Amino acid sequence: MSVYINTDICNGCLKRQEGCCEEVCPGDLFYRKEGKAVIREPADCWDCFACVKACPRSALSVGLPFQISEEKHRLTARVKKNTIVWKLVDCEDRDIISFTIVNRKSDEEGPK
Amino acid sequence: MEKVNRIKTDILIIGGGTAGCLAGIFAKKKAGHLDVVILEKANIMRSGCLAMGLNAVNAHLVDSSPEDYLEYVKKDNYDIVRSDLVLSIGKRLNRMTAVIESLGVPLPRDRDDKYICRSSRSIVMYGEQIKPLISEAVASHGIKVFNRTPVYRLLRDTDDGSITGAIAVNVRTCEVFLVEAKAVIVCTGGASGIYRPSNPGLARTKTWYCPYNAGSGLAMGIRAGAEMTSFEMRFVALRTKDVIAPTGTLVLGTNVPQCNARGEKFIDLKQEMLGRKLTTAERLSFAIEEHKKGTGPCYVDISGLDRDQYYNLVENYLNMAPSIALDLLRNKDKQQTHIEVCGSEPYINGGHGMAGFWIDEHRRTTLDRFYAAGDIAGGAPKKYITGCFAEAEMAIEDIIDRWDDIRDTNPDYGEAEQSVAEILAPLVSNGHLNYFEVEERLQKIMEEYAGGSTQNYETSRDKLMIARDYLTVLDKKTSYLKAENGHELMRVQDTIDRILLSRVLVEHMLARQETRWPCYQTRLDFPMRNDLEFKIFINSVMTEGKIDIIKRELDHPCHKIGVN
Repeated sequence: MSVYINTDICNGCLKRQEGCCEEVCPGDLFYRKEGKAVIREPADCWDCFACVKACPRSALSVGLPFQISEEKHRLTARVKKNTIVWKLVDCEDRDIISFTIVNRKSDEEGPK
Repeated sequence: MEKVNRIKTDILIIGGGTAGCLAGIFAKKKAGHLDVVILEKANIMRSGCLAMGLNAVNAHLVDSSPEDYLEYVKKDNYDIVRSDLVLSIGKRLNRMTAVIESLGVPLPRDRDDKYICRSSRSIVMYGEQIKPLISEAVASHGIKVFNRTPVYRLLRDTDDGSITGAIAVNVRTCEVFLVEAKAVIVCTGGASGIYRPSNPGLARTKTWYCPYNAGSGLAMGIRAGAEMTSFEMRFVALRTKDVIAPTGTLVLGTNVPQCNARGEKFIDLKQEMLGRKLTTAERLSFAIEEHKKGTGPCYVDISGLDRDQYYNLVENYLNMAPSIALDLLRNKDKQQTHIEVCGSEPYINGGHGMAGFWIDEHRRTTLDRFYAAGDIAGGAPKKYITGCFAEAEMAIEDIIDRWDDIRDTNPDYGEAEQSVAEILAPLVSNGHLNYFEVEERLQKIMEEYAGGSTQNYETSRDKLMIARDYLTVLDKKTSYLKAENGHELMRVQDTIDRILLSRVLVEHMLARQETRWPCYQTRLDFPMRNDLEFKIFINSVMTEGKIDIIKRELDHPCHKIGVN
């Protein structure tokens, strides 16, 4: 498993024509089934985190496949106005550590 | 029969990665009245090489001149580069850094208000949002974007065969789009997925280069008869093991040593011995040499980093290759001390390497009204993001300069109809093959006979001849490929494109009977560099399915591509 979809949280973005993950995935790997996001083929995932960042409910996270790591922890992210907050969680979703990084110039200095 | 839509525009851009989107923005800034369309395979919000983000501008000239940049690129590539192209990029690099900043991407500065340097050509960027920011600028400039609409073939003019548009099929609806334009710029990516991936099973797509880049722009150009250059100079990246993340962030960002399994700083030792800096290809080949000597694997030694520096490293990676953070933070209380490095699978690419369309100084290809910019344009390695921007700008400037002289279009819709049937065939095929098995077959052939990573990137004439034969057979089998839906159709077409590119690649590798760039192009039967015969470009053109090799002098007037 590369992208982990928490189906308790995912609501399939049902009000939208396409799910946010479905809309953004550069590999076109998502579709929706029974109101939840599904990944077509986990082995085709690049781990680019586009879906993780796009998910409005933080239902997605990425862990390394067992083939390259025995560790079970996962990384998730939440994009805010001018920052992104990354969170490392363990296999039971308990926070281990988080990072907040500036990702857009703020409005004062903003785009010309 | 799927619905066919005909669209007419002024400038068509194929591929909405960084180069393509910027081409659109430059066009609208310089000639706002022109209609601009981008056809994109995925969604421009997060597509192409920079879907993950980017943590550095790797071609920014800190206190050095465009001539210095040319000198560096030339040396690093053993003299075979298109000086005219590299220099024209060098002159625009720093202005393009300002463009990145104007899009809203934070470029941190020090107390003296100067960019934070990683080296004399590289500055730090917090570029996690670079692609969303670019796509917002695309929207605000009124560019028409068709997402999930990959182009599979080019439209040709009835009167003179020039390129007058493109044929695309929507992934979701399978609707066909025939887009007619007075000028076309191709800005798609290079190709990954040609060689066997480094990782097995569920981890097989942890490649460094974007796995969704199938080199389709190159393939459509080859089919239309465009001249290609330097495919044999494959790009192989020295990357962290398993997650295949860039090593520049480690080595440039933090200035830490590289060592072999015995802790010897082999890179420093080699540099001392040779009395000069190593080329990018040498850094990789000397690491492979350590393996062969029995002193591998090799590592980047980060044991000297304090806690702040370590977390700073993690943050830098989160901006570009987040999954390595999972590795670095494996144990919260204990820092990793050594990061193992390895060579990636080989890629065809023109942003780091030199493979791509043969173009002139205006970024015109050899096909009339058809331009190439970015990762797909050949002859100018190490252009990176700012170089891709620069090429997009040069193509647009030329189109606008000659706008009034460009003839009206008269696309050959008869030929287009045939192409559409060919593209959609896998949807109605009774074939027994799926794209995945064919792709794996291709990767096996290329890996074993055309110098994959498990072969230490080495090959020879006899092996290449076997690859050629197997690829010919494989190519014939593609008519048995089937697709159940638009997604699978895209994957089938990607696979067909990768096979074509591999065939061209093998011809190029056969033609260069020397070893020019260690690992990128190593011929065991011709282990030395041969400046007398091979200080030239190996180019190719496909005519009626046959690939012909053309040898071009380094600085020959034929670089000037005619204007009609």
